[in-house]
Amino acid sequence: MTDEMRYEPPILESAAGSHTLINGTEVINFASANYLGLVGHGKLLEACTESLEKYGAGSCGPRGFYGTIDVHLDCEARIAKFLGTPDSILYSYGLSTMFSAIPAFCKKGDVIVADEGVHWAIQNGLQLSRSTVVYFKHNDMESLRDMLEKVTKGNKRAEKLRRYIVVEAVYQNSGQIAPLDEIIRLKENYRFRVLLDESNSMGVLGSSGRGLTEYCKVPVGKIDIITAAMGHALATEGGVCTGSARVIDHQRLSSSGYVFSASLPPYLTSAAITAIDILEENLDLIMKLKKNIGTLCRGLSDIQGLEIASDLASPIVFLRLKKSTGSLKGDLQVLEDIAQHVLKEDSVLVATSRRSTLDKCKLPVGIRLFVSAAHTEDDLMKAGESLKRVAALALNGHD
Amino acid sequence: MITIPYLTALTTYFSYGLLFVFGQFRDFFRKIADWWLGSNLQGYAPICLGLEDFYTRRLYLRIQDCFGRPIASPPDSWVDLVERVSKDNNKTLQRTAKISRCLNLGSYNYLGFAAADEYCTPRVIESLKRFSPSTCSTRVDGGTTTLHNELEEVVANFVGKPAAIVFGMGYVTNSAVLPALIGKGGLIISDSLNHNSIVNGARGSGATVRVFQHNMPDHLEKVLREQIAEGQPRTHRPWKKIMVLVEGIYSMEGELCKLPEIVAICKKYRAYVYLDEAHSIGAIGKTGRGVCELLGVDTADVDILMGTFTKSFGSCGGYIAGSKELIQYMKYSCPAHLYATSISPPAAQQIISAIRVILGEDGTSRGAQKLARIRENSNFFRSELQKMGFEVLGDNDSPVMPVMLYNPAKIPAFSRECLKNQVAVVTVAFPATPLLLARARICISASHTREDLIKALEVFSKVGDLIGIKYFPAEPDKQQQDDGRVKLE
Repeated sequence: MTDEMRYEPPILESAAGSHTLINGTEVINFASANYLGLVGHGKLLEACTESLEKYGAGSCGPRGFYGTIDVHLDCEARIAKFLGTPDSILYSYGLSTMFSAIPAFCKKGDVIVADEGVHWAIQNGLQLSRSTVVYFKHNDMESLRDMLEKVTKGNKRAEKLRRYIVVEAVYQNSGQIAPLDEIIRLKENYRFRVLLDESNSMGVLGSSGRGLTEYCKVPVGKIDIITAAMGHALATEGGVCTGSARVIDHQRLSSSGYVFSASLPPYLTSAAITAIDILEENLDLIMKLKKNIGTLCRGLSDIQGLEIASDLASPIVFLRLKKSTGSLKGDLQVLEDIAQHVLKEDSVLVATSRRSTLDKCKLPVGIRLFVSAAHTEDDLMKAGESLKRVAALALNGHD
Repeated sequence: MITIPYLTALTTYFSYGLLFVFGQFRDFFRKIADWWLGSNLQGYAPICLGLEDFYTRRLYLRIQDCFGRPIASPPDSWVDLVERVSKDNNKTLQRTAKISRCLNLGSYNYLGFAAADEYCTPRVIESLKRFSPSTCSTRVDGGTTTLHNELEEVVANFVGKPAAIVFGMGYVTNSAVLPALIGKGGLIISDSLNHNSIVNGARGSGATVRVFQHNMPDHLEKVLREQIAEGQPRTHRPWKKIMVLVEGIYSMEGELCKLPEIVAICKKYRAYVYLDEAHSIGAIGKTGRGVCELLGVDTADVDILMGTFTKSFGSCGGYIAGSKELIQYMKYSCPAHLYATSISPPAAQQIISAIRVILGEDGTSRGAQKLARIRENSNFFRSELQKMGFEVLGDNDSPVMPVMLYNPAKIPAFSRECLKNQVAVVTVAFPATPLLLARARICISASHTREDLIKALEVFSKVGDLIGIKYFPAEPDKQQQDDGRVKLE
């Protein structure tokens, strides 16, 4: 039992919107992935209340045995229509989406080339699938090309094996955005299939929120499997996977997280449908989010000791230490200090990135700020200033 | 163990053989048609190889209308089923606008909390307005609210352990906690009929996995002795940690696990016990505290208690209960806690309210009534079915009762005939059960009334005669004459 194991997270006393209550004081919240500001939205609450009164809280059964409520089917159709794909399938938890979808398609002997910065759920799925996994350097297209060459060259059996590339649209561990057009070119060259995880980009990137495919101007039919956790922009829980009809139908019988687990509670499904409706009606939310990201990045551009490591269009602003202390624990300690001070003195809640003991990712840790469309200019300015001040104090000794 | 009559085994094998041969014929013709028409995915290996989805395409699709039936109302004791039609011989099904009201014997609604409840629902709506449907962040980042802490305390008290940790989904609880608890160099011994989530978690942990025969403590002892004597696979050093995984009620058999013997063996050999109470928490035991209470095992002897909230509490999510150090370690290292969004606040409130009702803290005795009702209902239903001559599995007091069907043709027949008579049942076949042992699984709820059960029994009797699944001889009528029960012919 070490000290860091006794860490107690801050306890919220109200909804996790852009402003929240901690210990009785109002705090600006940059730790919730509430990108479009839909937490606390009136229409969402109405839809959920109606659903609760009609269907009760839980769904009491897996999808195959009377756990399929008509709202599930409606939600799947709605998401498929929104993204422009033939069909989609709902999972009851964001984390289980990836680690059930991957073993359903990748079996022993298949070849998977994955980015080294993918998050734990994908790593777990890759491990469970028992395929040969090769990692390429984080977001580096040259490294990807080399890996693809290495894997297909001289391997005559490669023609008969299924081959996949697994990437995330906006990486949770670093905030980088994957260059999808490059990846599509490589994929077509070497005949691989692409699995894309759009948890942090659905509803955020692209002019109408359809995600990375719209942002990079790639037709959505070229990606074979898209998964997304709905716990980010859409402010509900659960996950969804879309693709061609064959892909989706196969998952309905062979994806373990779908078949052997209870279905998503009906009120969360209604929340998802309402969230997509709101998104389609108010496209200016996406504009506002983009503006907010820009403002925050400008405000954080010259902090002593920290640098912005994420892409400028990503809704996760990732601050990394310019000079690392040398060990993961040391880095985390310094960042924890900064986060604590920022919370106590200026009432701004930020999140440091956590690593579980089971996580194999080797990317550097940092402070994450999740920008939301509901944040005001003042909020962003305040966050920028407070981080500058605290970082200057805390990192003075480390430079 | 289930012993299958010889003739039935023969006919079942024959049926499956016939279906397989037909399937291969159709595949052959499909291959010719595909080759002729060509396809646009040249150079790519097919996404599903030949035999992998053979079962799906040729066998499952024929009876697809028996599974995945959508409902249009809460999964209470009576439910509105949406009717579906198929225009292309069961390959795809479209919803119609017609609904039919059926008696629901398939949902996991053991204590009747599935529909809107008079105590729980107002409180849930209040939490919804206060905390909104989701916190959009992980527990460590800013997703912990006062509700989550309250929930963990309430669960720990209810189960009888010092501390508990709650996750958003039951499946993920198993798959993500087992790798954190035990790693390479450890030994996992799990029951042969454990649920898929436990199997996935054990595989993902990297420890060596051995299986003991279902519910046989003697075999468990034998496996333990062998493994301890041999040590780790190649180095033969002693194991770092040994863990035995069992379930409270096995959902496909309806049996209770032989907990006292297993705990005694584990104490003798110093192994940890991990008990998965997904179906038994809240549903059995005098005050609903699960299989430990029913069988008289002290909760301090079971090291890790796991359960889900989907079945008896009408919500979603899973929990792990154990000692304070264990839970603190889980909060530090378990990926499901660090990376996944926290459980939805209204769902958490539903669990808290449901536990309050069960314990009687809401001021009424509804909880005790529910528990008594589910016990009475299960025992009544099981004994009546056995009297009629059906082969019913499971122990007394368990609300899950599988009725054996065996033959693949009887699966859709049973399901469709019952539906015509307004009873909705669940039928399970391969791969959830062994190939020969297909069954229909009935889940009793505390919200079923005596009239509901009697109606179900009548329908079963009629359908059973029609299909021929009364494998045992029915007991003669003169044995059932007490307390005014309706005579069943």
